[in-house]
Amino acid sequence: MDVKAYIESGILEDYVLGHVSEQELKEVRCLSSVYPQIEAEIVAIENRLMKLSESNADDMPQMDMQSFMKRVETTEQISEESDLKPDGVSTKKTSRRPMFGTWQVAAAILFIISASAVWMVMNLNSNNSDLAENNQNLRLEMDRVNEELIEKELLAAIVSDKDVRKISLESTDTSINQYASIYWNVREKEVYLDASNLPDPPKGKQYQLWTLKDGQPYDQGMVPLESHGVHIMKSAEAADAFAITLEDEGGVESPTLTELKVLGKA
Amino acid sequence: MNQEQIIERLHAGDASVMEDIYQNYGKALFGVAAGIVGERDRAMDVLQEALISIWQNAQKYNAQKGRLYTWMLNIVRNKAIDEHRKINRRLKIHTQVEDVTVHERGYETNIDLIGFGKQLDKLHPDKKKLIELSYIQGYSHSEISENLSLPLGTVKTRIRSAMKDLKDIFG
Repeated sequence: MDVKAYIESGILEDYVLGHVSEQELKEVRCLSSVYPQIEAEIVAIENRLMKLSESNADDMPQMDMQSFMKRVETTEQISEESDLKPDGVSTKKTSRRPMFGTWQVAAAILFIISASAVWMVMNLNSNNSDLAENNQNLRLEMDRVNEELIEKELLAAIVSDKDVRKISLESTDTSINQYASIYWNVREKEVYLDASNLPDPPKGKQYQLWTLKDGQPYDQGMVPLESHGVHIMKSAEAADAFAITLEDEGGVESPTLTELKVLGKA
Repeated sequence: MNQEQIIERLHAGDASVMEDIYQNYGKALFGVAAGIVGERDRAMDVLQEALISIWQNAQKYNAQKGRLYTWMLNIVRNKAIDEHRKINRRLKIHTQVEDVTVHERGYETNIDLIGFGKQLDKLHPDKKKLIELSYIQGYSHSEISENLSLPLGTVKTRIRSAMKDLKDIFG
């Protein structure tokens, strides 16, 4: 990935200023965890902004630290969940006295009107709950699409680097259609794995990535159990081949060759 | 002390972290508060109230949603805006001026960011305005675009270019 171009795009400034979309936020978080240069630039931008506002604080009055700390110590933190509680919407019901005597007819009419109103409200409520469910489904779908998009953007950013080599890992059993892709940045030594075309591992098992160099296997890390998308694995200095085996969850020190699933020459 | 350690202590409910927050971020946050409310003692009151609010709401801060400084900045800004509105309202009642328009976010357009002049004056006036709106007053790109009747793309480009100029000023 062209980290320099990404830094120069200005998205990091927007991130620090707090003006990024949910999707951009995820992207910046993801890339800054992969590339230390991006994280360093974020810190630099923040420092620059802080220096700017500090330039307006030369004559800042002294704060009475003792009384401030006393206030802090006597102030309780609000728990994380407090926002999730119902926001006190009034559920007060209005009570109505029934009407008698000469008003019986009017009461009957009123009853019919009220019943219709109740029926309408109930109908509306059920429509509302349908809407809420649809809304929730849409939100989940949007989150999924967003995640896919970020994965794709991340992958596009990784493969656009001229020093990144793509290595296809093919199934050792030709009757099974399973494969994986390695994106190896030979300059930065970074290894990315797209394992989304491997079947889900059975319970208690996990895929493990290896490099082979001069006939020796080297552990490149475990493939996260949620194996969809691109994962950053342990860096590889040199490799003749990449391979994935299916091992007990948590991994092993040397690969179980009978459990070799996919393999590709570097 | 780095951001991660501060967040960890905040989440662990370690009250002494507030002293470190004040040491690390106090001056920068005060500068923003002072940029909005103007008067220094009042800005100090705003900062204190904001710091208490930061402590109170610390469990709600999620590092996945943005930088700690950005989050604290929002709290300080909101307190400062409230304070500025309060003063404006009092001023309005006091002077009986009928035609003082208080927009929903009307504090910003007339605000005089005197203290920032020295450093921000090094920027082109257009860029200076955008930094004021974006950083000090917390306007989003689209709000700025609407407010200044500028295309969204132009706002984004100018803010980015202004931020680059800040790099030359502050390194």
